[in-house]
Amino acid sequence: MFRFVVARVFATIPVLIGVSLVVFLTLKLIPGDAAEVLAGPEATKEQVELIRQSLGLNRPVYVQYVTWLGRAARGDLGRSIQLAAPVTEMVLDRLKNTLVLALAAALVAIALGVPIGILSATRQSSFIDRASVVLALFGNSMPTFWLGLVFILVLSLHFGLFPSNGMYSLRGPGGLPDLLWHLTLPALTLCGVPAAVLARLTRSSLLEALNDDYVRTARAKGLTEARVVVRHALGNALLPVVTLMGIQMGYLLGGSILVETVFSWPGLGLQMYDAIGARDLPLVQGGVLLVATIFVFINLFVDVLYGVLDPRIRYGA
Amino acid sequence: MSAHRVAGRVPAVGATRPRGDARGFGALVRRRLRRDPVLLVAVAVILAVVVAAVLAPQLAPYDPARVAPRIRLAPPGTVGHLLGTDHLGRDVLSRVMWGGRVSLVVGIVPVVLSAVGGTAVGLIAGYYGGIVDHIVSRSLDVLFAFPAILLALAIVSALGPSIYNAMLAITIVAIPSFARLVRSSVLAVRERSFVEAARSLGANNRRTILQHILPNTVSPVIVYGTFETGKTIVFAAALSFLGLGVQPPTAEWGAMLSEGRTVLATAWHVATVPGIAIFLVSLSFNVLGDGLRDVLDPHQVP
Repeated sequence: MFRFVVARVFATIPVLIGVSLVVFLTLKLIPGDAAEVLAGPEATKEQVELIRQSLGLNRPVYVQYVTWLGRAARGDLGRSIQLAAPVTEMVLDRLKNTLVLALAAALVAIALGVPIGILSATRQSSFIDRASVVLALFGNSMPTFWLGLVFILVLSLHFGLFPSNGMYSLRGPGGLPDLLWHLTLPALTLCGVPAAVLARLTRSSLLEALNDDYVRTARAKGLTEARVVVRHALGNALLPVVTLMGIQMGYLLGGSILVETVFSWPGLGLQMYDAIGARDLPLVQGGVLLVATIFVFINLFVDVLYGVLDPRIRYGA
Repeated sequence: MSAHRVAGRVPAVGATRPRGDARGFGALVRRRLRRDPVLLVAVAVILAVVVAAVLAPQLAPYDPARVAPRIRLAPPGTVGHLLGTDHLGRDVLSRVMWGGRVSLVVGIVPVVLSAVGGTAVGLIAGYYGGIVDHIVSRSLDVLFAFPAILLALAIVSALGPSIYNAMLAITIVAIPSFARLVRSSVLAVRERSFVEAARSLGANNRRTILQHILPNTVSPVIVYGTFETGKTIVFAAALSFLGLGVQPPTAEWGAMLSEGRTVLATAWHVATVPGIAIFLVSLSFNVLGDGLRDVLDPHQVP
């Protein structure tokens, strides 16, 4: 087990280096004089020169990369153009709000997707099975941001059930109930795609498990169908679901930029949306680097968890 | 996804398909369409949207940029403005038709480009294997480490927001999936006996790849590409919605949604109409992908 974990951890190092290289290279895509763009439209000649010096833009590219990587590794992602504040502090400050949203959406997706998948596998071709096919198709085709607008239109503006923006009421009780109230619509919007994908995968994975020999044995010794499904088949059927959930976390973190923009949720996504509008590139790059790094670690965690749950993985590869 | 459907008679696969089966294939498609009204509707929707977009200059009742402040935010059903007008009094129907020209191009062109690019990368990695495959696969892992929309966002925000940069970014983001797909089919095909036969008859690498391996990787690429087109139309609209794609006042579905969002409380239709357009087209491509998978790629039917 220990060797497995160590091997997994070491395997992520090249990926992290690659991720940093890609983010660094996007800075090289800036057309024209990068120092001028990074300094912003109102910068003086001296300020532009200062940025050129401090980023070492007049030195060879590999020196620039190593310098940039060294700073990033120590938590220095440069300064925001718009606010002249350190990017690291700004993105970390907003990150927790995004994590609240992404985790809430993940929980809702699991709470909806897995039971629907189980029901449609155990009652094949029933109404719920057919409905889940259609819902999954809709979930996959629906533009997230539009779904959010429809929720606002119907549930917020028309029926006034939920607030349409923000995380807390300006003059309200605050606290957890207020947060959950504001969280409902963004989390429902964001969970659509993962819930659809989870339901389909749970269904197909459980159907496969239900055809296995050990399930036939369990049935043969006279267990009730419910017990066969829950105690015997489900454990194995949910293994691929764990992996999928790891992949879906990337979708949730990426998709949060759209949902946060629609609902003015004060997270990393909304911050990046504002940064795009202001051409605040260091802030955009910092946010992308942070999210990609988190995603790499989530996948590492899922890999290790998979090894814990399934010994074949641990000893196999 | 379509376990309840039966694929009908299954054609022989790829290179081993006997002559004369082309007619059988056409018959299969027709039978498939007859048996599945949902698929028929999806094809009809795609054709209708394509025709409306192509003929927008002739069919659209107004110039999509014509501003008429006196009738701003007219609701759908207003005489002369079937789908109402937006905050500047522009005709929403005309804008959706003109917007389709942009949205379809931005949804389809990057998919074609990334399918070609990804196929090339996947063929090379899968066929040569070894160190080449290792380098390609690790590079793909790195690109997969980014949530797609964030990578696209980083690229476009650096290059500067424009529709061409958005298309470039979408292409780059979509290449890894195609490459991985093609690589895995190459790995399966490479070991088949007809490839060995070709090699023993003296075919060089180029000929083996292009004549014998490539034809066997095309079906999954077409099927996946159809699904990817549905996804890309949504994705491109998302980039425009974030201000990274089409710039106003150009009519495009994502940008229209973004503009409509500001008047959501007073005029629901301005954001809803382009949203429905995006949803319908994306849905139709997903249904079409399902149908194509049953016809082209019978092994994949669950």
